[in-house]
Amino acid sequence: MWTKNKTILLLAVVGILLFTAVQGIALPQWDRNKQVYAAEQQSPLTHDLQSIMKYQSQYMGNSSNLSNLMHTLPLNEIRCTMELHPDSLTADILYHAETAGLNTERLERSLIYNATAAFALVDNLEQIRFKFDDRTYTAERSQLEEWYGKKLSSLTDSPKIWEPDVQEPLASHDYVQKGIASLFTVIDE
Amino acid sequence: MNPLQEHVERLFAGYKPTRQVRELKDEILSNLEARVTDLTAEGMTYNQALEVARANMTSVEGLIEEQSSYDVVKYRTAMLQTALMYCLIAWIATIPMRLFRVAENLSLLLPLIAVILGMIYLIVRGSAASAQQRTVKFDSTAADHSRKLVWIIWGIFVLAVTMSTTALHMGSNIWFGRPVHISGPYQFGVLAANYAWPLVTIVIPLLFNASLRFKMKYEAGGCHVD
Repeated sequence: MWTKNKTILLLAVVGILLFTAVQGIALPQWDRNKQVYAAEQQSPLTHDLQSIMKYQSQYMGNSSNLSNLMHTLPLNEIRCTMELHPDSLTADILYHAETAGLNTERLERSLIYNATAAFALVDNLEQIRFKFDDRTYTAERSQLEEWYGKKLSSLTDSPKIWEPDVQEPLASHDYVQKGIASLFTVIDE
Repeated sequence: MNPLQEHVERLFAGYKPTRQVRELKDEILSNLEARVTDLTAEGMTYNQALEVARANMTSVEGLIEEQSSYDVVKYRTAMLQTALMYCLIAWIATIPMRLFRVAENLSLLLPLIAVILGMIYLIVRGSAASAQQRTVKFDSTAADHSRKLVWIIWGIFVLAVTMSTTALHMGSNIWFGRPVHISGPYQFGVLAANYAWPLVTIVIPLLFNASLRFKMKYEAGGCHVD
């Protein structure tokens, strides 16, 4: 009886300590890490390539795949819908916001990053149009391939290629300006 | 074990070792030994005497009463103590699952049950010393059947939850013959926790085992050692 009572007391102490450790230390730490990670995913400079690798697809017609990809890339805080045009292998990403209300540098950096990710992961996507309420940015695969000087799908082979070729140059203001001018056709509505 | 002991064990195979069964075994064994001694004294060989004695006792059906009785106060105290211990073990098992947001309600419910059981245990234990012995009858065979039934129900429950977890997490992979993809240690943890939590409910059939064990341990008139 007494041995069992001692075991019960010991189990209660172990349970309380473990519960406190999980609830008071581990889970808050995990939540903080998650918040940091989520914040990092908002920036093209710190976005995690691994988080989008599962959206690799041969066909742009797979709308749920493309939609999930867009919701995992920067600018995902803006409500967006999609229109696909399989005849011209074009995807329209409709952002329900005006560019005037957004930080221009972050917006342009994100558009270059998102277009690169979409072309690199979806094999037969030829053109992508980012449509805002007041402006449309159009990019073509051929322009981006010329810009990077290689097949876009090869960029995702490793973060060791993705980071220096795609992410790190985006830290430069001049690079972003040049990228927008060279890669996109911009039409104001 | 001599041939007569083996014969007696065979006769009682399938019966729970209650006090009544133990006493009856001793009695039958000594009767058989006396019979063999008498027969050999009358000139029969030992093997012949064994055969005759065994032939006279081929079944114990009708000799064993199905109902026994146990000391309720001791049984209740021991059961509460064991239930409390199992409940705490089950709680500790569910705590790491909280990391993966699995069985969260169970890991909150179990300590509450443990607190309630703890309080009842303390009250029952406190009053047990002054309480008079009170016995209640129980049918050991029926109790054993109930115990087996609970194990079967538990097995079906675990199987059903396991199948449902498999269908939920891997159904489409199995259907389309695609390999299951686990993207990292966290996803593995979530999957493992989803499979592990039903096993925590093993404390329920284990409590039925303990119940039967304590009823036999605290059988009225019997002695026990803690």
